[in-house]
Amino acid sequence: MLVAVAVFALYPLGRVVYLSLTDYTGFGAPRFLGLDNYTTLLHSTGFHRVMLNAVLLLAGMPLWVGIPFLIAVALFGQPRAGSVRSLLLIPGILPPVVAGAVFRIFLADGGPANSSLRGVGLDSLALSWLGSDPLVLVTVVTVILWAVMGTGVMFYSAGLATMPYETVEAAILDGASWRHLVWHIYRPALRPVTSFWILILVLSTITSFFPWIYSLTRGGPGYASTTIDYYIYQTGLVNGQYGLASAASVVGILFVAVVLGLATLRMRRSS
Amino acid sequence: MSVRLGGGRIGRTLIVLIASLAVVVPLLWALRVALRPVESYIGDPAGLGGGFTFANFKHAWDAGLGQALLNSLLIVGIGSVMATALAAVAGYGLAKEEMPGKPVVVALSVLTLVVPISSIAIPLFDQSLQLGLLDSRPALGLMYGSLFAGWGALFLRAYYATLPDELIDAARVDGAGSWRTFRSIALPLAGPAIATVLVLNLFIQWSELLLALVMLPTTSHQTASAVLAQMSTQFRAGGPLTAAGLFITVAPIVVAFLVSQRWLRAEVFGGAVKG
Repeated sequence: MLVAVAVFALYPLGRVVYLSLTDYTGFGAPRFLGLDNYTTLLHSTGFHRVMLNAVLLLAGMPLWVGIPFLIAVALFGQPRAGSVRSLLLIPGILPPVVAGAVFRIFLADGGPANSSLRGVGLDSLALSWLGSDPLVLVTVVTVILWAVMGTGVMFYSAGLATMPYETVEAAILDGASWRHLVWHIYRPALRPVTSFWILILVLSTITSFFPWIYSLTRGGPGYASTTIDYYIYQTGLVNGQYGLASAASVVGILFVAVVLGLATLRMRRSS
Repeated sequence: MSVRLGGGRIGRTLIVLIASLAVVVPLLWALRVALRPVESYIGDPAGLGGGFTFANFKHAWDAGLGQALLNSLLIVGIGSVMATALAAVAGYGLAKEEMPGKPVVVALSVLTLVVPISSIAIPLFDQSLQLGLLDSRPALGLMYGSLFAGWGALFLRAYYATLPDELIDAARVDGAGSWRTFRSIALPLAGPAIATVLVLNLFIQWSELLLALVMLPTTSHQTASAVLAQMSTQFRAGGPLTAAGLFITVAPIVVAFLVSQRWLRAEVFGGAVKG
């Protein structure tokens, strides 16, 4: 069992580092190049944009965390909260490809979203949601928010259910407003859930934008929505530049390591 | 005071209402498109009229989704059962057994969890090619089973750790070996958590796209996610076809969630949240 995991996980990890130092194209023996592939990436404007996108998409984090938190708190103690939570969870059980496909049709340039906007005279709002830079990144972040929202609400609601109610009651008796409750009572009390939810998002979304990008934009226009994983797919698995794509793979691993490091620091600080 | 709370109530209701609409409208709209005749969709993509038809479902099925569904069932069947079984055993060993090499197992599990699949896709592809495993559906199942076992092992370790040690020790004192203790004490008690791992594995593996696209070049071997992804980008005017296809693709997952709903509880994540 360990062997299987090692074959499929450990060996490829070593191999990708090695291949990143070669000119491998899938045929013949890899020729050693040293750090040439990394230098190529460093000088490629396309890859600059890919790294910029990686950082810009991280800006989705506050939304993916904050909005589910707000909804869970708003739902807390409401009648029919359970049914609403189930409803919100539906996008969460759709594979990203499926959710991406919905919005690919919905937001297409001549698609229903824009036709409706034009139909009610809002022509100026009928934008090229998937075809213009940098709007496409906003669209990707929003579609992912749509998909992950319900799962976040579920975790926050489970956290709220175990919260001692006396603190809330005391604050209400003291005349605290709802906004005060949200920020000074619920937010600190739910900090462990937030850390956990951020970790889930990093491991499920930040490490795997690929299905979103593939189904929504194919990385375009140009490199405007190309993520590290889509770049690896395009460069290596479509164009056959395995060496270069391996170097991008190593960069991808380092990027996730940095993000995880930052997330851990944040958790340490808040606990 | 009542004014303030009242304001809170309106704000809360508004938040819930907007969120619900944002979720429901695109889904209902997709369902409507799936049931619209293609001609009326092309003539008026924003409209809702034009009658009802199931023809799109039939077209999507015949365009490869039917075969793809069977492929996915085979691959994900192998992969999710294997990943869950590995996780159930390894998680127990890590939590309750004395054994050498625990740190190695933990490190490997963390590795599979943290390293993006995209970053090992190149060597995985190359390896498969050289071993003659490219285009093999069972091989992709085994790959999934290995790559998606790690998170489950860590998750179940946290869950097993919440079981009282006295329970395990009592079984040992009664003469039960490790395997027996695992099978008749720990396994039944961890039922809901293991069900959660199985269902989430079904979902994760059903959704996996990168390896599915790369490892199975033959069209008739492709998974449902791969076929659907290509549908949505190949046919620009294929709204109804893609819409019907996405309902077909998602149906098995929805069934899995509905069937397993009574075992799934957010509370099983309690150990993970605290840990």
